[in-house]
Amino acid sequence: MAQVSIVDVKKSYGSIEVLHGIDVEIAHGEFIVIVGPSGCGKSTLLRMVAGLESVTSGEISIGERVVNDVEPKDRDIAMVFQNYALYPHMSVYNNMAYGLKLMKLSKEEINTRVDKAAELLQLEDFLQRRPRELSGGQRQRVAMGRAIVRDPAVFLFDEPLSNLDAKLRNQMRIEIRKLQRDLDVTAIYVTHDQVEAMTMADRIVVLNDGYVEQIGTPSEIYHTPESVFVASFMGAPPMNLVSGNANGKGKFTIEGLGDIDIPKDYSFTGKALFGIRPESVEIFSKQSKGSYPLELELVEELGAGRILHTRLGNETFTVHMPHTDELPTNGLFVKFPENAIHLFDPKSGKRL
Amino acid sequence: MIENRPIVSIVSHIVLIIGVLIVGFPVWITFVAASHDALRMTQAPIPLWPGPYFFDNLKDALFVGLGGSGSQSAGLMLFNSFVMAMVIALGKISVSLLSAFAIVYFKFPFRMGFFWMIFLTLMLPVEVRILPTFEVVANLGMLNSFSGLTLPLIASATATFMFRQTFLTVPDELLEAARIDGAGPMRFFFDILLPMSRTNIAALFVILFIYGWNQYLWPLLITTDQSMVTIVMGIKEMLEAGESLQQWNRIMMTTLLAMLPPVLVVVGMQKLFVKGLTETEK
Repeated sequence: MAQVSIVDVKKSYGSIEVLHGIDVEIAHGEFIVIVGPSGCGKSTLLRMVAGLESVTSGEISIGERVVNDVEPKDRDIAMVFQNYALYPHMSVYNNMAYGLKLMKLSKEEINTRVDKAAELLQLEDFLQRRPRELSGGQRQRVAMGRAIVRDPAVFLFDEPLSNLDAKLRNQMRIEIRKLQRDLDVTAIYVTHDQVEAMTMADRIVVLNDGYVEQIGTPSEIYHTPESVFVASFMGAPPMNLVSGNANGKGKFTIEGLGDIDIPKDYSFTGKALFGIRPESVEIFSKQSKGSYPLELELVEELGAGRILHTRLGNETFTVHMPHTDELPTNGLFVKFPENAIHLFDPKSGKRL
Repeated sequence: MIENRPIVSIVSHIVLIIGVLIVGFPVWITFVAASHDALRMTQAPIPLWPGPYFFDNLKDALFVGLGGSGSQSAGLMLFNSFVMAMVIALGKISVSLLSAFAIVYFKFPFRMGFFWMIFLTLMLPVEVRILPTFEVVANLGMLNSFSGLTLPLIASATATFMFRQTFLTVPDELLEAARIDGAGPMRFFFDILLPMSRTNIAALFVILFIYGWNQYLWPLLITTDQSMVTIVMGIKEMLEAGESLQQWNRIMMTTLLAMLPPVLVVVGMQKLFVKGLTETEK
């Protein structure tokens, strides 16, 4: 069993603190994705779990053991790097076997493990090749193989797919997920790609500027974002955020547009941000009660749907329509279903 | 060049051929002189075509030398030179590899200070520090020995600098992957850095071997014992040996022999040499 717990972990470089007290509890066999924009500290956090960066304060434990001062090789982890970090002068076989040789395993044991991993990853035909003779996807697999043969308790992935083309990335995404489930190991996966985060994770940790913004299942993160940052970072196109005033009695006033009905249980009064996902709105071609006019600026055709870039009052507003719906030609009106509305405090950025 | 103009290629070939002739003529004369007997070489005009005594001269030069007291056979001098050049080249490479490794991969106080100190020694070749170095070597009792011949020449700023640059191009992730695989610093050095620097080491070996082989002033200064004479200084001593006429045939044969090892090293390692100096992909 290998749960990972990260308790109040901070990291400073000199006087600059880059991680400000991170708390994450990861259960055995869970697939955790840490997502955030570049420079948010997500890779640093992963490298601290790996033991490649020192922990300034706080505690990281793997299994039941605190590993703050344990060497990377003794942490029972394996890591897959963004640029694969394969040893260029070694064959695929030796790349995978190197760590095992250093563990002083017997030749037969090494052989069995490497062969098993190679079979799992369909690398049998490439064992004698050098990394430079492989394609990007194959190198990626070798890097995974090197991690698998160690038979670790925790897999660490540092943006492993960002060097692959889009098609291969989709395929590897599924393979990694399957592999992790089959091997029944805990995985921590760092990415800046919110699609990867949504599709792969059991739970997502959204990191921003060294703070945890939210931890939750993909569905929680998507449907009940705890902050403006999460709302705008997760989802493409991002959530619409319109500023206005809430009166605390089920009305939200947008300047130059009028009042919008919001659920009555929002008791907050004062300046607020009104948020709604582009695909959650309803589109009509005729004005009716509770609908608001949109001014169409641009249409992006996606095939499976289209994205309308519009203006709502003075604010930009995006709408995602399924391709089955006709694009209204004269007049565009929008309704906001009450259960899809989010309100945020513009000062703290927190959900109301 | 991509353009295909016959005039240009004819002219460039002529220029190249002239260059080859200018470089090659002295070598040819050396070869010709080494194939005549001693008498023929003292008569004007000097011959331009090979004579019949090449192998006699080869045997004499290799095993006898000039004959007479105070002269050494080329065989012994070749051996001395070879040992000196090898020790200098390999010594320089190992010392520089280790110092570059320390400077790139370890954090210690005044790291950059040490690097620049090493770098400064570029300005202090043997010729500049010859008196103090001689004093030190003499006091350590290393005159007339291989250690005296080689040790003062082994530290090398150029090689350290070059390996530093090589190591800096090795991605950090490789070190991290090795750490996770359980490799300590020296394992990382031997298992990963060293094989990855293979071509650079080969290129440097070629340069340093020739540097060591061509040492003249330093061996001249610290070897008084005839059994420690190296071939480059030996040739010069052959010219001054005795009162008799110079035996050009044997001297030239010795010169030919002296040229051989560096040529073999360059030819043999040509591919690695070019790769090591031009390859950037890691």
